[in-house]
Amino acid sequence: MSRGKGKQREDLKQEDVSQAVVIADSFNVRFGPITDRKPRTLLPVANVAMLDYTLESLTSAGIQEIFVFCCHHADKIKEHISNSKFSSLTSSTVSTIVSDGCMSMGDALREIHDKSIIRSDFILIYGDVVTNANLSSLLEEHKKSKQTRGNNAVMTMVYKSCPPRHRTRCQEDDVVMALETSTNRVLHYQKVADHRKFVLPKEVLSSNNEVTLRYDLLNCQINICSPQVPSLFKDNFDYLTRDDFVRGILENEEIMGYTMYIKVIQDQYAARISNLHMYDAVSRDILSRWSYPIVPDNSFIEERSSVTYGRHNVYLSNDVTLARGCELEKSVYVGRGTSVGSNTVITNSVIGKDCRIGENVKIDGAYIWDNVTIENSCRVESSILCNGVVLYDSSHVSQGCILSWDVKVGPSITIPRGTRLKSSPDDEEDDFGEDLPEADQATKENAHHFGSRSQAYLFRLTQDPTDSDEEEEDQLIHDMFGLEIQSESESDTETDLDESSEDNIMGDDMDVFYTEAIDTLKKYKNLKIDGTSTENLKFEINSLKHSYNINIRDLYGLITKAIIDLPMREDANLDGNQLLSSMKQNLTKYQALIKNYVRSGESQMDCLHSLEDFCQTNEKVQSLFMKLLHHLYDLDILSEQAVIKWHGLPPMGDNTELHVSIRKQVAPLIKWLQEAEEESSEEDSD
Amino acid sequence: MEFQPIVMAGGPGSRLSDLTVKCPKALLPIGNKPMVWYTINMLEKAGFEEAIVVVQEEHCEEIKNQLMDICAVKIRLDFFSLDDDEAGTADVLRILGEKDKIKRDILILSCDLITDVSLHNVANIHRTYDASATLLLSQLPSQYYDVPAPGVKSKKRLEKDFFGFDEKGERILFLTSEADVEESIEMKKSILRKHPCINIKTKLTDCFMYFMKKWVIDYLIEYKTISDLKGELIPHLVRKQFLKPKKSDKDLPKPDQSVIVETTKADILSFSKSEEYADEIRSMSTWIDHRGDMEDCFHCSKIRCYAYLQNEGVCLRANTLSSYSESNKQVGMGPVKRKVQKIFSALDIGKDKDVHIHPSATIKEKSQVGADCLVAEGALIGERVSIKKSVVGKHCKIEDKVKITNSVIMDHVTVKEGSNVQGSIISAHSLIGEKCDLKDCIVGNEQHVNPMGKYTNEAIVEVEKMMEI
Repeated sequence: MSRGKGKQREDLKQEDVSQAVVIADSFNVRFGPITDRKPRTLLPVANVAMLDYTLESLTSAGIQEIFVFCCHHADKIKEHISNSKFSSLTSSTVSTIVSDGCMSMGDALREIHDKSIIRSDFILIYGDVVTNANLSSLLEEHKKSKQTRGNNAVMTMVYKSCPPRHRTRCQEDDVVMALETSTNRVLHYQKVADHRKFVLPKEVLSSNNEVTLRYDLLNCQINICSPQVPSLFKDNFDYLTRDDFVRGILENEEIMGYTMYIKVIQDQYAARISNLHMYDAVSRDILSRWSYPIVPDNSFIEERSSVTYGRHNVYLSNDVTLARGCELEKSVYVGRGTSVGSNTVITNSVIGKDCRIGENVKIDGAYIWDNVTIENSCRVESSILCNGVVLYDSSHVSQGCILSWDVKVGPSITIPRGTRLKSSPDDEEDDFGEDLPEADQATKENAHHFGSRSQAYLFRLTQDPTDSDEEEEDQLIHDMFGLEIQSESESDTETDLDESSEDNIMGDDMDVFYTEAIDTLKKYKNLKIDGTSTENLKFEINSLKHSYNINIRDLYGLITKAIIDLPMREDANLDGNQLLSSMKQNLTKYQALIKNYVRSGESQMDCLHSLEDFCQTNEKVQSLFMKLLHHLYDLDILSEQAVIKWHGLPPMGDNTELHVSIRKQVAPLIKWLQEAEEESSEEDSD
Repeated sequence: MEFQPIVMAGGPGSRLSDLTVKCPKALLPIGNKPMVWYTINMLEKAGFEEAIVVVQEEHCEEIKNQLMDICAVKIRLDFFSLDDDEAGTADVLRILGEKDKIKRDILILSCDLITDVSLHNVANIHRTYDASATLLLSQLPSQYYDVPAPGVKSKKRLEKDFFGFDEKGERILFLTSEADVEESIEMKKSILRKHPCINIKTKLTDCFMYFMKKWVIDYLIEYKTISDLKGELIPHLVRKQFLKPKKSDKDLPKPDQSVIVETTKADILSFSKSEEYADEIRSMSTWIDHRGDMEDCFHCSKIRCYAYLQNEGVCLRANTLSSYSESNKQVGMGPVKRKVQKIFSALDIGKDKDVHIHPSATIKEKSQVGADCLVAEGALIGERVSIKKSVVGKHCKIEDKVKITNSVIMDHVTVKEGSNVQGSIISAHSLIGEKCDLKDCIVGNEQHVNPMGKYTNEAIVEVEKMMEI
């Protein structure tokens, strides 16, 4: 195909062979613990390994030399390729490069530079990209554009236009780019995921007539690189990822003169499965045929030849057994040899080969791989169940769970949100896949039983005692793909807040935080509160705290207040003793949560002040105030010292009257406390 | 009429100070017409029947006289004289508002705008989006501002403004002048979320033509700190577009004691009242101004600033020396001559394209007057005179063997024999002595340049004035 237009002699030489480098490693553990046994690129998406999608788009685009770069589980990738059709193609050669010590894409490119296999412009792509874009024309375009852009145009990054908050946009790739309008040259690049503002340096504007800021770009993780890219990585050892590279090139633009461009594709599909959220999004996109012709019923992988496509995006392999009365609602793909019992309802899900699904099962948004057994009356919501998982009778898997290889849970158990389970307790054979410096660890949690017949152990990322656990929480929140709806509403309110910030008043943030906190508590109302759910609740509240920028000292009070407030919000007619008892109930129920926040003497004081404020606005609370204090004291949330100290404080605001009346009201309690303290101190002195 | 035009002709012309000593800026001639005439003429052509002209009290009579009598303007002009020459353009609007002069939405124009833009194009943008303010921006003028200016050389560069537009290039999302930016520009993510593709243009000039809602004046009356229109009010409005309406009390969580008690003035949003049915119509209509999310039209923002970009034709603001002398040339000649003639086809400027010389002017033998020149009535041009790319005012006397190139000669100027005038501006009633050589100079009102004088890049103005400086 290159011959046809080879008028220019110099280009002829370059266009001799088209090359692509596939990075078949993710260099992280987001899919843990699944990736203990299999590299991420071999995990199935719509029952086909991710790598196959990438290789299919490369080979069908006529790329002649494809290098698959693998580190972790390299042997498995090799084996997979040699067993697939890609090993026997005549038009393309697929070869693997194995390197064990690689920790990043940068390392991989340095390795590739050392092997000096790159002869011309090449496609750099991850092994988990699903795309129907015409890669060869992208490569052509990059080569051609060099005539106008010069040889220093080192990279064309491929983006797809896609509005912010689109489901398929990866949250980590939240990037704003400043481009030269006429050429799409990248002038400035900023990740804004954790920022409220985008900062554009002045000189970008002063030196260009027209600049476009784009926030509507989805990073396809496909890059068309010039041959000097590997050597640039070689020269700069601190380039680990493409982001580092982009930043480095832009910073040194004046010195080195290298430029970068982007190509925006409109009608084609491309996305990288970089985390669980994206796994969910891309799977849905494939089932709803956005990636056509890469869809389950298209037989680009041999074993798929037997899939039929029905309406409502239901895909059935030919030897599926469906019992009478089972319902496949929409966007469902059921793999070969699977049987589904009667009265079972399945929506938005992919089910692999040879699974057995019982009766009265509900499956929504779940990814069930091969050989999974789900017994009668189970429920699965937005989770991944790997090969060999068994759910015994009446088990319930909540959103965002991962049940890794051969995990067995149940019967009659509820797995709380975002739980990750593995089947072997701990591992001397530290066989972790894509291990990072902060390598993960499975913790033996004997306290957790996941049903009487269970074989499951909790997997969690390492608690790093030196580091504040904020980052890790963020990480977890990002990864719980089941929680997508909620995280979106969060950012929604954040937007609104942003706008008001011009005339910012602190109160606004607090209000919204408070309502959100109440909502969060309501959500947990019907759940049993145990260790995990308290943890989860804590995560949610912490994340709320971060997103609304709530001072930790305000948080103490707000949380206690919210818990007391909750019963009143649910039933405004409650009165007197009824109200008190439900408040007490709530306090008892959430005491672990409160204690997590309200610990030090200072935090207790903050809590007390906040409650006092609460009294000022709410008469019911005022009338019950002493009893509530007493209860808090009984629960060991408030210490007697704190209460007494608080009692002795002078009025803070202008509402002296109320201050006095509250003091009066609680006087008996104080008296009792003082006596008790005296007694105890007497005892102590004895 | 839908809009009430207000012509700002009271400006001191601070950047033309060498020329405005004796003559108000609004009356400085461009192509032998006072510059304010062009603005008024544009309104007249667009079908306006009346306009408010804001002038300084001292110049009121003179301007009235010029416009009414000499230029025979038909439109009904309501002269509003200011006694305060410190008042900024927004202050002027406030004063007009307080005096209850403003009844409808307004169209504000500067007296120094020379353009062939069709007003209805700008007005249509204003109407389509029911905008709070609509600006006329032009990318043309930069070429004119870069030409060397007559008079003393200054190093002042044209100030750049950064305008950020939405995808369609009509709504202004962000506006800041280069001088106000220190190192970087910050942009809120919430704005980017609503408008994920923002186009920033840096080569645009604000032409000082604004369509504006009446409520903006009410707002100005309440908030007295804003005194400049271009520099303060417009950027203020642009910023406030993304102000979120404060929650009304009933939306707030009830038992909320932590709220700081506010004593607020009515905020800007409460001023922006839309017409009775506008919101309702919009909610029922399928028309929407954006895509990519499910939000309502305009993302419910009540304040909206738009711009019309003029890409071709003429657009000049004669507010600096270079643009002033350039606009004289443009009006008289050059590639845009015909266009200008078409627009300003009234009176003596080119009804017929050969009549660039007024019939009453006398030109003696062997003199050459280029087709790109304008010679006004009663001018006397001697023998062997050569005039190129210049404008010669009324009753000027150009003696023999004078050479004039690239210059503006105002009314009643005498240029004595054998002088050479290049790239200069000679103000009214001046006298240039024999065999003078002036290059890129400014000669002030009633100045006498001694014979044989040679000047380059100088301002020859009244001595007292020089002393003041």
